[in-house]
Amino acid sequence: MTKRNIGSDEDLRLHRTMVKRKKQGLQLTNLPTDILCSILSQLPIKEAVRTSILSEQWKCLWHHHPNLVFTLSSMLPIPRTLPLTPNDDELRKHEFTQRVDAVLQQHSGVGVENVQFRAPFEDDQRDQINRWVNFAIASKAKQLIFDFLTASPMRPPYNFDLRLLDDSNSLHLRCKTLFRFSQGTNITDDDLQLLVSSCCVLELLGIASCRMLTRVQLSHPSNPLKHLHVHDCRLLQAMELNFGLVELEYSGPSILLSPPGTLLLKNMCIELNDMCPSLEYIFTKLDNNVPRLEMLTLHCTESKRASLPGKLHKFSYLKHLRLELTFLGAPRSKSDILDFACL
Amino acid sequence: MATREAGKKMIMLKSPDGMEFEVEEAVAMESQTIRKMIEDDCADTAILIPNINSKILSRVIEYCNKHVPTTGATGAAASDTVAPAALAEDLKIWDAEFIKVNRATRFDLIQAASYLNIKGLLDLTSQTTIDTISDNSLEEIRSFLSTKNDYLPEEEQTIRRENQWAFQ
Repeated sequence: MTKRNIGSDEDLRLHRTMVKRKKQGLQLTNLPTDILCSILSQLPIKEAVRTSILSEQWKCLWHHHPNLVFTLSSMLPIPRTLPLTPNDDELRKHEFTQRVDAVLQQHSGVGVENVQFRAPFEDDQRDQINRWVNFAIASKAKQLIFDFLTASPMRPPYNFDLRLLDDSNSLHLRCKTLFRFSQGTNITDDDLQLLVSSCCVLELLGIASCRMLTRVQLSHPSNPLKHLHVHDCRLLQAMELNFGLVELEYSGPSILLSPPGTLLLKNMCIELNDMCPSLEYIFTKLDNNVPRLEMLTLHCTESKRASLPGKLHKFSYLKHLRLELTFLGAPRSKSDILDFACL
Repeated sequence: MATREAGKKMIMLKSPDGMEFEVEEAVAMESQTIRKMIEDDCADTAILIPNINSKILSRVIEYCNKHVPTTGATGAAASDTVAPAALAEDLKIWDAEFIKVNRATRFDLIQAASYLNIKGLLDLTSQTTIDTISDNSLEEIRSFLSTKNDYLPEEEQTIRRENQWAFQ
């Protein structure tokens, strides 16, 4: 074997190309896969799917995308002409369903944090939607949002089947943040009760436009719920709150809040859409069960002067009070601004 | 305050190329990785930061110095007189200036921020990449990431077919 002369021209050339290559390699600075994944996770799902075509390395990266947010605007192009004909509408829904299905089929189901479905869906698509709900539950996502707006008031809305959350499934249900149903779902009092009792780590619950709901009962002592958002449930009469609740957002008719005892509640935002004067509401319906209240925001329509009970309780921790009042009615019945001095 | 200023604990950070950087403990603890080391008592007076060369490490320290919550003597005086909103605005401008670096440096900074677990820096440095991926053509993204399309034509066809909607 002949000893190679390190200093030969050929070697020098070889060395130079290697250095060059190495330099190029340095410039390439391919980011490691975990960093690429974390960058990818901040992109909407459509852009994430698109990256699969970049190179072999990117092919499967999006399969662990943690934010599965499916909305009409994220999944479909903006319609060229408006308003849409019923036929167009059907086509768009069909397209949306196919795309969501395609994504969910390829997704690994691992590492999902946030699943959201926001689209107009009616009861005739219940099979597909149930499939998606099952995926969402099985993925152990921390946040689930179901927002099925109805496109036409004439058609029955998708009725959330809470049996999907029955015992066998609820074992998987580790959703911590949000559960939101909206727009005309037929959830009944019992359904909600079942949901709350089966989601044993639920911390935030949001309900909107549930037209069958008359009562929200959360008063079970071990209920970990901390945030409750209830909007526009027309028939709602009362809410029994749980002890640990910290934040309450409510809009709708003036209802009675009946806590099991004094609450830890700190933050309250209430918007009443009937004619209940704010002071009357504060002192009769809120009762003196929220002594720790620090923030109170109230939107009310003042149609008459409030008749206040003789003895008024005090909010000793209240730091922020925001009243948004609309004054209505004849001058005689006008409420007196000095009434508010008692706050 | 003066005694606190004098008694500030210092930490030595060493890069693998032999440079040493003396920084306040609070500044070093902007990195969750270093914070964990200090809290678990795994840190002596000097911590070796592997994989991050002195050039990048000094920039990371520069970032942490700027972003450490201003509770110290000088910081308190500054935040008393300047409104928080103005302070945030000032930081934003500083960040924008900080990130004007070439691509290789930016990728190094991303990796350093990821290893040292400094969320603010990671978000800042990744943002350009995120923006590039969401706003540009595939060819532009490839050139930005220096990625070569290594698919066979038929493989590329298959992928396009599977998720046709995402390429429209």
